Amino acid sequence: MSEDLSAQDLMAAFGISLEEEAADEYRGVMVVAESGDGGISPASLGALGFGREIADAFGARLVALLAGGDEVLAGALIRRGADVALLADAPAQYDPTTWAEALTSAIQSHKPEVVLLGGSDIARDLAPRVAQRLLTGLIAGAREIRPEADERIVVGIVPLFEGRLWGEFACPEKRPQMIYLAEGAGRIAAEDASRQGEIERL
Amino acid sequence: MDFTFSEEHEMLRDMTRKFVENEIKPLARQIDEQEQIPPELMAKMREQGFFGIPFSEDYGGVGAGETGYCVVLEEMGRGSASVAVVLAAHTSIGCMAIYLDGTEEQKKKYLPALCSGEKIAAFALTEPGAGSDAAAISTSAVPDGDDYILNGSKIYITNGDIADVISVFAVTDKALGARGGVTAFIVESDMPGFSRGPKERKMGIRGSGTCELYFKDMRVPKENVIGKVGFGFVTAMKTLDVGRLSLGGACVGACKELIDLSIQHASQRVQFGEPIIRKQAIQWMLAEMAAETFAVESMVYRAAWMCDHGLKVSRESAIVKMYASEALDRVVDKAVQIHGGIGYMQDYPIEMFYRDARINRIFEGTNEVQRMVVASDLTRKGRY
Amino acid sequence: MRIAICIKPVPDLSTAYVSKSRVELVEQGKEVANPADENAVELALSLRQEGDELIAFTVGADTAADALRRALAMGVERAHLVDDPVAQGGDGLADANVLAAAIKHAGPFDLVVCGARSVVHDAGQVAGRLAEALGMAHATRVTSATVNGGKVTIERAGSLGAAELPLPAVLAVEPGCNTPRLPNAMAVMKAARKPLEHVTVSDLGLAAEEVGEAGAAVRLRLMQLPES
Repeated sequence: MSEDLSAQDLMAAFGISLEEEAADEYRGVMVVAESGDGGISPASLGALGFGREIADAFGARLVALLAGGDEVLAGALIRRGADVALLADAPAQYDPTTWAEALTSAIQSHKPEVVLLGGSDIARDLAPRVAQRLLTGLIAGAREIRPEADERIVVGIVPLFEGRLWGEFACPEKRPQMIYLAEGAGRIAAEDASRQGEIERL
Repeated sequence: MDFTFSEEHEMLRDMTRKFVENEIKPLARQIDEQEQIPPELMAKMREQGFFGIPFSEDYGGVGAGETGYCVVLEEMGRGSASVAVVLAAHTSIGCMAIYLDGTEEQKKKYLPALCSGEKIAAFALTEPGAGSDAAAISTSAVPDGDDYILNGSKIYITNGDIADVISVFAVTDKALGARGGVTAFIVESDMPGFSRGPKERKMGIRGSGTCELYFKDMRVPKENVIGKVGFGFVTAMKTLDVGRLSLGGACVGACKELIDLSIQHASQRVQFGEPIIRKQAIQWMLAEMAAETFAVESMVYRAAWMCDHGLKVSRESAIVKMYASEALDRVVDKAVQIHGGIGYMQDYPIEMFYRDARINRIFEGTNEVQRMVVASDLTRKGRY
Repeated sequence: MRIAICIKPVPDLSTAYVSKSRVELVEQGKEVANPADENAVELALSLRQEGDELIAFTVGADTAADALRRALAMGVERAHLVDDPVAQGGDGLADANVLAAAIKHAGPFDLVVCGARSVVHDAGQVAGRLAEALGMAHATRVTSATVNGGKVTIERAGSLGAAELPLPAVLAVEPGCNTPRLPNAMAVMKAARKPLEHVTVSDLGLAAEEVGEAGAAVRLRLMQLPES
């Protein structure tokens, strides 16, 4: 009985399994939604459509992060495919500092394996900062995405050299895999009024 | 053997190419039609430092040597032969006589303003009765106190219309002729007795000014003698040896531009169901143009290398001048043919290249004179 | 002011072509400076006052030296090249780690400028990453800037409009927003002869896992020809 308890034994005593946690640490898809003109921006809806495809392929939940407390917009996100509309306490109009904090905080609490942003100036501004804060990878300017379910990675197809070649990029290890889309990329799903989902507050 | 261009040369090339694309090519047709380089363009060229490329920084030059200078002229040759000729006449022969044989005082007095382009230079050897037979010049220079009095005229002087500083070759001893009787002088255009004739109207390089120069009882101080009294012919030959090389540089640029334009045209022009570039006749013409261009480019930069390394280049520069000018004529002729009808029309630059090319076999010493130079070198040595 | 300028060496697209059989870009000739980075140099030069110091930074092989020298010729004082082989082959994350460290190593700076996107990826990320790593504010798609006291006022292309940022800040400059000045022959010669400062990863105190291929989070898996 003089064996020292290992860290794992101690943790196990409290019901925490380190390995399990590592394996399940990042799960789910998060899409950053922007709003304007009284609705969700087309770029964000396009990203949401892609996000739904990835979530379905991975058998995971799709969370849409929205700055501001607008529950009407939250409902719209759910009807377009989100399982959860996560409302962040940040101004609906883009503010670099609070939005970066909100996204970072949302990622830290929800641990999505994929974070997707639409092709917008806000995404260009926001995603790199947060990616560096989390020391994770960012695929910038994808015109198309392709989920690889067995590896749980998303391949981003990015035009290179002024569109002369397309590159397939992936972020195999670091999490979350962040992607922002090229301008005009994405697939807007039809509104499904019957869809149910949750509204959470960050 | 290291055939790469240095970092300096590559960067000079890149800068000149951008300048030619943005500032010269858009004006090339206008320069030809108006027979003038617009003063605004001359001013921009001064700012870019184009007027002193090969000369040492000690005298206000850029210090790029003969190779750097050929690179710049090559790029200029892609855009406008008129501009290239104005620059070359100023640099390769106008300033060069002072640079090669001038005293320290003369170099310090004249070269800085010439290198900055504030003043323009010209080289005045040719006379109505003395073209290829340069030894037959008759402009006289008679000593008088601290000066020489010059009387006579020069013909077909490039930059004659705008030059401020002219290297003039005059007879100081008629009996001795070319061997000891010719002296080179630095003449300034504001010296009393100096005047210019009207600009010639030419077949090509119409943007460069060519005219007669007249000296009537013109007083030139003894300090303005370049090199030694009586050794003017040596100075002239030394200057022309180096000057001829750069003409090759401009020819290389023109050849390359002509090939590029011909490829573009032939890739778009569809006849008999396909772009004519697929036709063997056209392909063979392009291949021959490329071979000529590679040959000229190789000899120009090899001779420039020799020059920069202090080796004598008399025969090589004569070969370069002779071969480059004849190769360009062959290349431009094929370029016109590949373009067909449009190659004859003034809407397109090809006909300008054709007219501009022809002078290269004539000025800076006709190709017949170049053949004389090469042959005399071979016979003197008894072998290659 | 001290201004850092990040220059990315890219293939010269005016001479490169795509090999359909090998599905790759075949370069002919040397790498050049990313065009938007030249716009960034121009912006930095336009902001320069008496006594200001401008330093250019590049992560790349020694072939990248040419791209850096263009910035020197335009009027930048010094150039730092991280040509350490360990630092090559990185992605946005790894390159930002190296650049941020190189900038800190030569710092402090009031402004960091770079191109908003490159002709390689057409979508940028370095500005935001650098800003985070350096603890600075940032803005992207900047078309013009003026510095007043401790702030920089910017105009931006796109939807985000004008803004005011506190210094120090990172500005990603929109391609084509200005005309990069053409150096004259004297400046070219001077720049061609100027020694570059070569920086290694160990000079910067970085671990091998943070940089280059080892430090990259995103990997290129495949190239394809664009579908028409």
